[in-house]
Amino acid sequence: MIGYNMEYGAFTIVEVMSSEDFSQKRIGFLACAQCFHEKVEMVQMIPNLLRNALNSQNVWEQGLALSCLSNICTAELGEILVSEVANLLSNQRSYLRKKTLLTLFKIFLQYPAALRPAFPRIKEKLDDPDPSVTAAAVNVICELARRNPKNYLGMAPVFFKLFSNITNNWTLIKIVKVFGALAPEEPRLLKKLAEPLSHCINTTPAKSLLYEALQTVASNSKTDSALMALTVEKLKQMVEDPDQNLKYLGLKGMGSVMKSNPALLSSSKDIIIDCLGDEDVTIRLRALDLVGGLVSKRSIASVISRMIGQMEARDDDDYRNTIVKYIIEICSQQDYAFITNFEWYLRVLMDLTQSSINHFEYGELINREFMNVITRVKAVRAFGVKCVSSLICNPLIYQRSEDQKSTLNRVLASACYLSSEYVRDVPSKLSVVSSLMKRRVLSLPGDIQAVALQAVLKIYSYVCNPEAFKAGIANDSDDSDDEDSEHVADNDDCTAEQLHGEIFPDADDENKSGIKMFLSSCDVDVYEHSASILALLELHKELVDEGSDIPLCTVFSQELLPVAKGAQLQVPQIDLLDEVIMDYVPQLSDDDDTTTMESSYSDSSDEWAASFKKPKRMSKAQLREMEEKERVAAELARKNNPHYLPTSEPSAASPGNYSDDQPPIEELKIPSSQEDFNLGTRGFKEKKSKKSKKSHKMMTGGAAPEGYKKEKTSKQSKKEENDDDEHDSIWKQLDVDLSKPTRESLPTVKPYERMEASDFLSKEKKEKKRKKKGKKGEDSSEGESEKEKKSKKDKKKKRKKKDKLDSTEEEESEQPQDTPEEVAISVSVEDCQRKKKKGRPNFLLFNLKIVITNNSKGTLRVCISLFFISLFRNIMEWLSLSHRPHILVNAFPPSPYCTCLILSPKLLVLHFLISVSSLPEGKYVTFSEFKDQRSAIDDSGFSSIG
Amino acid sequence: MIHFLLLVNKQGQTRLAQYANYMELSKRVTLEGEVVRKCLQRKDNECSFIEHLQFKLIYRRYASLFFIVGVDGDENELAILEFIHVVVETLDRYFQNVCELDVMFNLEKAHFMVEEMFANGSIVETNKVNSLQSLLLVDKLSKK
Repeated sequence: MIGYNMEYGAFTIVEVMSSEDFSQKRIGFLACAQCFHEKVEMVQMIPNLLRNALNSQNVWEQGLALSCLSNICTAELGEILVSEVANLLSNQRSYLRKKTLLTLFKIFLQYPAALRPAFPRIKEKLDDPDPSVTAAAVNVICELARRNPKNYLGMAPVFFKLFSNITNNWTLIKIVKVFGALAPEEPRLLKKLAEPLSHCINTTPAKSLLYEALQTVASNSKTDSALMALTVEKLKQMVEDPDQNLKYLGLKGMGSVMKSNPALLSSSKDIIIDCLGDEDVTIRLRALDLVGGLVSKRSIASVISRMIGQMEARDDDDYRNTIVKYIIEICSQQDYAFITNFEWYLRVLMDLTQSSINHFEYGELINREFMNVITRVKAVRAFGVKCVSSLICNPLIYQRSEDQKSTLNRVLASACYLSSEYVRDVPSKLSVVSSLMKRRVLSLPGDIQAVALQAVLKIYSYVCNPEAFKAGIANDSDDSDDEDSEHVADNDDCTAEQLHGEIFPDADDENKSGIKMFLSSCDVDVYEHSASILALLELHKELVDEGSDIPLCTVFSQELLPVAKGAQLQVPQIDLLDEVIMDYVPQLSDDDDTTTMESSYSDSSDEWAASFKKPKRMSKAQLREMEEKERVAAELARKNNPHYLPTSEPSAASPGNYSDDQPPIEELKIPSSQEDFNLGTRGFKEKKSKKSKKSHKMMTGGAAPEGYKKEKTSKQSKKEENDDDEHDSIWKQLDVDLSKPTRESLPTVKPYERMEASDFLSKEKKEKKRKKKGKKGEDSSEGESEKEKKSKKDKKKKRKKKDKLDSTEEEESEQPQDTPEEVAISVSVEDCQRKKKKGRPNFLLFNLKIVITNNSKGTLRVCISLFFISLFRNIMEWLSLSHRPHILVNAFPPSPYCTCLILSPKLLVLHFLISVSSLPEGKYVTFSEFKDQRSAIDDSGFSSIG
Repeated sequence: MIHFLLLVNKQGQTRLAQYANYMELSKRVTLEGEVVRKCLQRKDNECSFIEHLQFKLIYRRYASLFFIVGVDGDENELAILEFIHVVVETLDRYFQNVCELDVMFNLEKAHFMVEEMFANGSIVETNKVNSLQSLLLVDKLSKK
């Protein structure tokens, strides 16, 4: 509450919750709702309390339990209490009915299996006589339909009827929202809706409902034109409204129009651009969002200059950074389609680097733009290089970058690269080199320093021998550079000696530090570059002194050409590189040795330099041939690779397809009916055949590895999506077909003998007493707790079964060609000892024998560890340890042994040695046996602990 | 869906916080800090919506108290704005001219009221009489 931790009081809260007095009880429930959550161990203490409250005669108490449950619901609580909660749907008090509806929604989120059986009853509540109950039901369905609209299409007529009958605006808004969710799935619905929606837009006095209707219309691209025009007109009115809230909403609505029908907004362009100057940041940001879609070749210059003006006028760093981002986004959209004058664009970029933003966020973006424009647009290259070389000499950039968060210095990376690659366009090479040799460069990030060093070497080598440098480059890109080379070297302002003086200054010149200062860098790249440049220059100097005339520029004899985005991905990646090289090298020498190999062994240095260019000069046909060979070799290697599983679709494996292949999306479907939970093999086979049909849709989580590369990409994407994963998977599980009749019912978990708070207290006391007395001796509470544990386990087992089912499915889908196999685990305790050691209070040693049918693959390990985690949790609970144990499961796939180490904070160490051995195929342990064996654990294993 | 409702005073102290989904305490504190800072900076002539991370904040200022509601992208902003007003009216009705101190010293009652009005991220009750009913009952019981 209010930001203070209340978890220490969890136990007391449970006590207050069980109080008889309603006013106290109420406070207890409130506290519980506020501070309990999954991670509080006490949550496991309250199901009975909640159950009692739900079944109580007092309406308010029932309501209390509902609102408490809706706040703290966990999967376990949901499963236990869902049937009780659902029963309240038919309660005569509307107060309870509506609360129940909303609580059910929360339970669905935690325990998705409940949705299917409970849904028909929720649907009934749409016709409830009490409007607030209807509203609650609409609320719930609206939330559900927003995520999985397909399943709720059948309900459109019901909502249609409600739409015309209900007058409550709150509910109407939600109904319109449902329509908005359903409409993209069903085009016919849209036609039907056109009339009532336009009626609603024209007549409703409530702005909120009006906005909702507009938003719904706007976000559908297939709406008929008359309605759309009306919507845009209304939105325009909202934007022009003096009320800031309406202005914001109008812009937001236009954002949806922009996505569906961008052409319609051209008439309101001026209004939107005016909003850029609004006082309110939120509105300005919304307008910025829209501007990108409104610019044209003609208007871009004025819009951008307006945006830059805005940027200078405000002193809010976040906002200014956002403008920088938008400017670059707007200019570079559709591959610079709107930019006619790139010199203008470069000037804009330069303006951005000169802006007075303290925390510059998008340095990398500007860096990329410089690189893109200057390398790809030859017409502005000379101008661009002049610009960026002035950046290097600009002390402002270094000053601004002193702030750790600012990324403005990223632009120096491209500046250094560009002004060395196109060095003949740099007006003052001496000042560039001297500013790169200043001490302030050391404060830049390591990678930029490395680029800077490389640039220094390039510029130096050019200045030493500009003719050779020019020749080298002119050779390479024959035709296009001819006219350029005329103005080259006109502005030669420095000599090699001057530059050498900058790079190796006199020892007594304190102002200059030279390249040697980089030698003490802790960045590996910088160190390596500086050391090798140093060595190269010294070697060169020696050679020159000896009278040899090797031009230094042979190091950079080729111009680096820009490569298309994603081109690297097109190059087939080769697994088992060694093998391929062995296959590939002899072939290459067979064909090409006449051209490349011989010449490369010749003595003359010029030819030596030229030989490196030779392979590049191969004709395109030759190149293609080589590529083809490479591909075939890779294919061969893949075929011979025992670890590579061929995919069912050959097209997906061809290397060209990788780059545009989206990682397939996993289809996570929980078994939709209770029957599947039974371990009948038939259910399995059906599932399997369905799965194999869709095998191309599956993802790595439980899918066939369709080529290692694919696996890689999906892994990456999985990482990115990891945050939302958990949440999304719930919504995927809630994605069930609701139209079919269902036979399943809500799980009814019998009230099992859980420890109530009071019991718990007394038991703890007893335990303490017992500990004092001595450990051996079975008293009655022991027996009780055992029973209780068993029943708890029964329940856990249910969930366990599910887990296992899922993992078995996964395993099967991994190898569709195999015969189906079942995984079953049986556990028996072979030996259990309790050891007492000094220093370590308790030490338990179990020898469990686990018999597992099936091959021991990775999923099995997961299965085992899951199983043990649930098992150990039970043990811990039973030992009344409130802390969750840390469990380390160590399995060695080929060997049948697996050790588990469990460390609880109380230093109780359990050591499990599990022997896993394969049973003959077909042997199948049912869960009833399984249960028996479990109880064997109870009898033999734990009672001996005492 | 409504994610949280905050009642914050002008000094940035949280007086009432109700979350629909569990969020770690440390995260809550940082979130509230950022939210409050953003809201306090706003001027009167600016709109009542702020986009913050994945939330949209809808706030309303009553004298020195800010009522801030955090929703996800798909909630109707104007409806929430209206809802805030209903909450304030309900508080006002119960406390008779509600002020910050009323909420501070009757925290549990304020919580009860808010809990009656929205649950699970949806608005449950907008009728002032209905939402006060259970609270009045408790008062009656405790007087006995």
